[in-house]
Amino acid sequence: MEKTINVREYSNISSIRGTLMVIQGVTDAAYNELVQIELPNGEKRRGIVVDSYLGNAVVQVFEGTTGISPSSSTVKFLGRGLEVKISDEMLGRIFSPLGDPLDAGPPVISGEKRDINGSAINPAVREYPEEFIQTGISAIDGMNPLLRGQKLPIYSGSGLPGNILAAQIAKQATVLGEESNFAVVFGAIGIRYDEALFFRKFFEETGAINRVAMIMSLANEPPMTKILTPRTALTLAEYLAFEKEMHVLAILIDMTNYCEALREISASKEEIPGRGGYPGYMYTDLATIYERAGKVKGKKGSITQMPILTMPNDDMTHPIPDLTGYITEGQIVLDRALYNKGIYPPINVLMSLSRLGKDGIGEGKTREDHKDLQNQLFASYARAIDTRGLAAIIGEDSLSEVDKKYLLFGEAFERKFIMQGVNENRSVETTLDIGWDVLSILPESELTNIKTSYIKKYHPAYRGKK
Amino acid sequence: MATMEELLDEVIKKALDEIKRNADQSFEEAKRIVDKTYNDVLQSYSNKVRDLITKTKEEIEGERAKLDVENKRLVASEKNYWIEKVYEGVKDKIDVLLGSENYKKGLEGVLSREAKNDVIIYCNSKDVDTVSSILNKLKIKAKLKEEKMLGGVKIEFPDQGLVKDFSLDLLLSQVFEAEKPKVAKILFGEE
Repeated sequence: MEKTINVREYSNISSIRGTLMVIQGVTDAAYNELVQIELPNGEKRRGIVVDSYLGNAVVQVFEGTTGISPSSSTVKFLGRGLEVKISDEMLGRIFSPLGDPLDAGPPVISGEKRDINGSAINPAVREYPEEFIQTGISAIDGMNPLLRGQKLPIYSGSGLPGNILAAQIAKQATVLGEESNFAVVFGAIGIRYDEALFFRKFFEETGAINRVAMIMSLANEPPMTKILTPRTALTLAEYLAFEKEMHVLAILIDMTNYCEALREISASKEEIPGRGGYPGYMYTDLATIYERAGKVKGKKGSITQMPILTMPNDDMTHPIPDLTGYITEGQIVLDRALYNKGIYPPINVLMSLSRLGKDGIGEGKTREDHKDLQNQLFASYARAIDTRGLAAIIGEDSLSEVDKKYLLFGEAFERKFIMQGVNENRSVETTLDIGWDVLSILPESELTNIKTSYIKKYHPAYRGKK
Repeated sequence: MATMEELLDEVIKKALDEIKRNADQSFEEAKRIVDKTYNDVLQSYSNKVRDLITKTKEEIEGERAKLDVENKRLVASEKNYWIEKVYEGVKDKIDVLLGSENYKKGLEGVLSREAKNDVIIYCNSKDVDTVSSILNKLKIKAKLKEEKMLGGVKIEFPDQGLVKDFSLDLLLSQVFEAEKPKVAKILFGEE
């Protein structure tokens, strides 16, 4: 059945405060209804209904209210919610959260108009994630693997290379055996212009642009635009995954900007603030974004989410990473100490965790020794860190021979396993082999987490020998 | 005496053997060093060549992807141009609709549902008579003003500062936007 078009134009703007506008005499405005404001000079701006009371409607103007005069501007209520035309034509292109092209190309031709708020996936039809996604980054693939349908955030810090890591993952990530059916939806929320340029150039120069769709809002845009960005990105991801049966990796960067915009809008609506000044409903709001990921029974495609957030002051107890951690299935944590040592990517594997990772590795998925190797590397690296602390107190010369080996192992683990180039795409076999190479520094008697049969097969001392 | 000469020969022979042994050893050592250096250099240059090939492959892939995307954008722009041409064509031919009974019935339906006394009704110059007769039929006292539009009406409620848009311009743009994929399929075939 076709929708009735209900376009009403009002001229009774009673007040303008910041980015909010109050229009009198409106009794039939729907919450989140899209509006168009026309200025006397013909300029058109867009907004959304954020409040409706006592015959007044409050509209948040996307492009700001500078130059809008209450007496001579008109507000057209468009009779529909925030719908964006979504299509697989968007792959290889850059759009605003409202669906406007930002790459000097034409608007989308074929496709469907979808409400960007989406709807939650029916829990009864969700499928448990079990397929491995190869990101090409050893610290993730080897130690905290990402599975198809999982949501695994990256916790970055100010000045840490979260952007470069996100771009590298977008370029390299693939589902083994289904490389041609993989797409990346990149939601860039409130990023700086130079960051936008970096992402665009990186994808173009590395050839990844063809399979990446970018939904972008810049730092100087109104907060409402930043709020819409992940929603539009995930609506596109849902279309590509469940209509076009593609494996979609949705990378959202930076969720901290999203939460700051949420805080700004909440403050402008004079809502009572919660922890840290963020709105009390921030947990629910984040969940409506993060929960738009997963696999569905009967559908070939899937959405895997990698939101990236910047921890203010590297504080993991800050509301943003704290609440994100409650909803998502683990975290990849970037460490400043590793970054200062010149290690890229500076992933702290001890603080990172992939809660679903164990179900996607092993024989038939990656390699039979993956689980044991992962456990051993984790245990040995943890001991290496402890040994460093001990060495700082009693001095390296006072350490036992085994402890000295652990120090060497720790260094090798960071320099050979964790550290890799920006354009270095390691297969999971290469990652596991490098893991074995660094473990070979330790005496065999220390490898207590690995089956003897695997040692005899994969350890460098025995590799290739019968 | 022969014994002295023999001794001398013996000593010289031993010295020559020693020198030959040393020379052989040195030669072997030098050969090992040369072999090792050769292998190291070969490995290093092989790695450089491999890196160069990978880098060049990536650059080629990058250029190809850029060209693909540019091509896609150009094709989409061209398609959009022709679709807009169809839209302009439809707008030019809309007059055919204005004379039909269905159109008049539509106008009557909108006016009977929305128009009240003392409202201002905007329509195009060709519809003035039609709208006037409908208002008389419905016994609605409203002001009629001409406005440049394809067809349909806009109804202004001055006391509320509200204008309701039932113009063909709005209707056509909404419907055409929804039908764009079908138009594209007819013009350019199945993708």
